[in-house]
Amino acid sequence: MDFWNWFSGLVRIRFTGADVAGSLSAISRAGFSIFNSEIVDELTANLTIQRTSYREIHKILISKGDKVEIAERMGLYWKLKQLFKRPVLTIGIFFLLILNVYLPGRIFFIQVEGNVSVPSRKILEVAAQCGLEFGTQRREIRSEKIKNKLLEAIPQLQWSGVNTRGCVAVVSVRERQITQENPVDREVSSIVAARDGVIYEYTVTRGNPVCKVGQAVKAGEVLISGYTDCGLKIQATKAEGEVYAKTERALSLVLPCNWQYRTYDDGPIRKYSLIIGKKRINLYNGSGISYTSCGKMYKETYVTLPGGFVLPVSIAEEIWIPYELSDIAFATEVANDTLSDYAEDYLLKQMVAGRILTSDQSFAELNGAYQLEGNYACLEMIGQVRKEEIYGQHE
Amino acid sequence: MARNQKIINRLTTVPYLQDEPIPGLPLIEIVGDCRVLIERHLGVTEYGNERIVIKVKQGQICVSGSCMELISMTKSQLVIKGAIFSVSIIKE
Repeated sequence: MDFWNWFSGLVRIRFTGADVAGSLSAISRAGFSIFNSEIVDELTANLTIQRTSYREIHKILISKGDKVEIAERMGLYWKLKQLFKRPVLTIGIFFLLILNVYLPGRIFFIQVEGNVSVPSRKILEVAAQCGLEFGTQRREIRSEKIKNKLLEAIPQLQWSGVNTRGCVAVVSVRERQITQENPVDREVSSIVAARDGVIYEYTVTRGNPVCKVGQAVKAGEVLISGYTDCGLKIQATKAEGEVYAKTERALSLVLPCNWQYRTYDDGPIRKYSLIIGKKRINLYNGSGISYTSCGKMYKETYVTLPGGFVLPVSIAEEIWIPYELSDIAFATEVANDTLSDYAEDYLLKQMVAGRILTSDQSFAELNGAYQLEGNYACLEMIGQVRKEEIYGQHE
Repeated sequence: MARNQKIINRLTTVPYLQDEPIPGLPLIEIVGDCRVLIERHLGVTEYGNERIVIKVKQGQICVSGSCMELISMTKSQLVIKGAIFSVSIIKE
């Protein structure tokens, strides 16, 4: 019994007959091989034969009046035959074998290390231009080429290199230590008035003051100049300081008398879908919203691999929030307080810094709405930086 | 027939052919006391765990022992495994 017999399949048979020795002689005379013959009793013997010769041996034994039965099937042929009866398992094993050959030579994860200020995404984009991306063959990665491309495309990098460990490529970079001058210091700018007003506080920390406290200024007027006349020359600098002024602001607000608002009786209903490429698989029954009024939120979460590679697989989550609309009427006092609070809040948000000094508000109810007309005296910072153009400077 | 036998007998006495198999004659190889190989057999006439008788051209070969099995049997040769006590040739 050699490898080829095992490969092509063997059958262990048990036969019962009056002349066991004669049956064995008949089989061997017919030219068939017998292996591991074993006497069970005087009339019965077990023997192993080749799968391909089973039919003929069966005929010989039957013709001699023996009773034959198969005791066992052995060898690779039968194992494979059993395996092919389970197609999913067979395909799975075949797929795993293919992957076993395919995967080890490919890059599936890319890591970037050593970067501080340069974003990893930028490094990965440049690396991808040189062929280092998801699924690249390891032997196709040219470290020197990627290094040159990275250093050329990203000047902040001083050194780079690519190492591979299994399916992971590690892009190691070292950033250049840049001693930065403050570019803002080289700018020339003035501070101008953002609104009309009367200057209340005037603090200059750099630049040439051109106004004084109590002076009325118009929007756009220079408050602190970036240019200082030093006699023989004009010094240009970046003006710095704080200018607070009293300003006037007018506001008109409207609030409807009757509102409709949503009441949520039931909790949110969540529905999930699996999106593979352009194919969408809904993981819920039904396809539409059966509610009369319903708020809907939609969120897609993509599956990503380490390194930022986004797979074309996502899970979509829909949140449906059913609601009922109800009417509500505002009382006059509540409406006035609401308008007044909103007006103050709005004005404070409009200012860079400051506060409301006095207010003159009038309330009215007109055409089914509450109205607020208000004039406000404010103390606010009106200084606004304006960049000055320097003749002959090229960006 | 007698003439053929004569030729075979003469061949067996030729000195440089003594180690070579002679056509028509069975070849019996005994490995220790555990294995017997017989070539050019004509079938098994008796088969048991303690006695196996193999038919050859000149008569029969009787292999006695215990726990004997035919581990391989083809048209030209067979191999017996087990505890071999004796191998005898029974001339017809």
